[in-house]
Amino acid sequence: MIARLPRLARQLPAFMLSWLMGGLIAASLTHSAYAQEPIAGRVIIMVASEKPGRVDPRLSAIPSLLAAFKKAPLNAYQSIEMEGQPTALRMRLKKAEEVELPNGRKLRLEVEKINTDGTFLVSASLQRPGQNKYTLLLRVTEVPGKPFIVAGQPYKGGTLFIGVILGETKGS
Amino acid sequence: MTQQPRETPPSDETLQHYFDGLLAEAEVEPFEERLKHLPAERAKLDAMAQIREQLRAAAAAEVLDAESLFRGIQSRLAKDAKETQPEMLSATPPLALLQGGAERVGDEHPAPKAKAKIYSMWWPVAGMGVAAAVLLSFLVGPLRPATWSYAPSQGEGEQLTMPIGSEVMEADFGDRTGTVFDVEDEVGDRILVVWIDDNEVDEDPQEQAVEELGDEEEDSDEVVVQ
Repeated sequence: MIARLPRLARQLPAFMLSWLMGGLIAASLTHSAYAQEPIAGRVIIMVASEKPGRVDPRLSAIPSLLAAFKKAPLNAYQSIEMEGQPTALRMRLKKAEEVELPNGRKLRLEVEKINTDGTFLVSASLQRPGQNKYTLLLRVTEVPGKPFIVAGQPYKGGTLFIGVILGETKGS
Repeated sequence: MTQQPRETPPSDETLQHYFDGLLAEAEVEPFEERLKHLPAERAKLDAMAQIREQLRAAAAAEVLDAESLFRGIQSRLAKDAKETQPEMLSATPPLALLQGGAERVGDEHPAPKAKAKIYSMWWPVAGMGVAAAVLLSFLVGPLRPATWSYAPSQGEGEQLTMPIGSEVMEADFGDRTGTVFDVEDEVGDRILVVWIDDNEVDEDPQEQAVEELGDEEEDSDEVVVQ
């Protein structure tokens, strides 16, 4: 054993170097994986009306969004129907995504940055296609998994509600 | 003077058999009778007996006193080294450059022994590096902000590490008016609602801008996206 120690001592720097290299490779791989990993999200389009009616059962799968309609002033809406299927998003930093709305407008979303507390700084805009006028320009600090709602535009005898959820967690 | 007939000496093999006690009992007595007349063979037997005794004594000494024997050998070697060192130093030849295998005359493709040794060392090193990378990747996992593992509050008094709801940083309703408010979700977290009123401010932002020119109290909501 004693006779082998000098040989081990000679090889120690090489092994330390190999572990350092391995650590750097692992760090770069995981970091790049994170940098490239898109932020999952959904855009849910609903039409709500104050007339008595049903609540779309599909909304029960999005409890955080449905809960908003149980509190004032949104509890005035008696019927809520989803328009089509939710649009799945795979957002990347500083890359805008557009979602066609049923009223012909476009919702443009962009994650500008991920804040140190884990929230997203999101910019959103509503635009009429072919025009340079916009209806809304918005910058929101969004908690992952918690929706924000853009609403108020009339549609199909009701009011259009657009729910946006980014960085979804289970059950959001 | 009568001369006794000379006894025929036994072969060495027979003598050795007698010495080892391998002769048959019936042969022993006649053989010993013959030996009385063979002084040379008796001398041989005496010598063989002496050698055997010495071997036994030496073997016993080696077993019983191996440590002292080893020390003796070491001290003897040390003594010899001291005595012979000056002679060895004086006899040491001057350093000479030995020709390596790569420069052997007539060897067109010499084996790169030195490089092969280096490669044989770096292959395990590289393997360890890759193993370390894989291990660390599994241990560390994807690098994400810790707060990504967001969980809604479970009850009153629980402290959250991030805001309990989305917040508006900027809101510009362009050609509309609007308002921003919160509603609570099922666990008391805020849900941000941006309400766009149906009332359009003006269809032509340029006309609106001209009309409001000089009006210092009223800010224009008209913004044109470039």
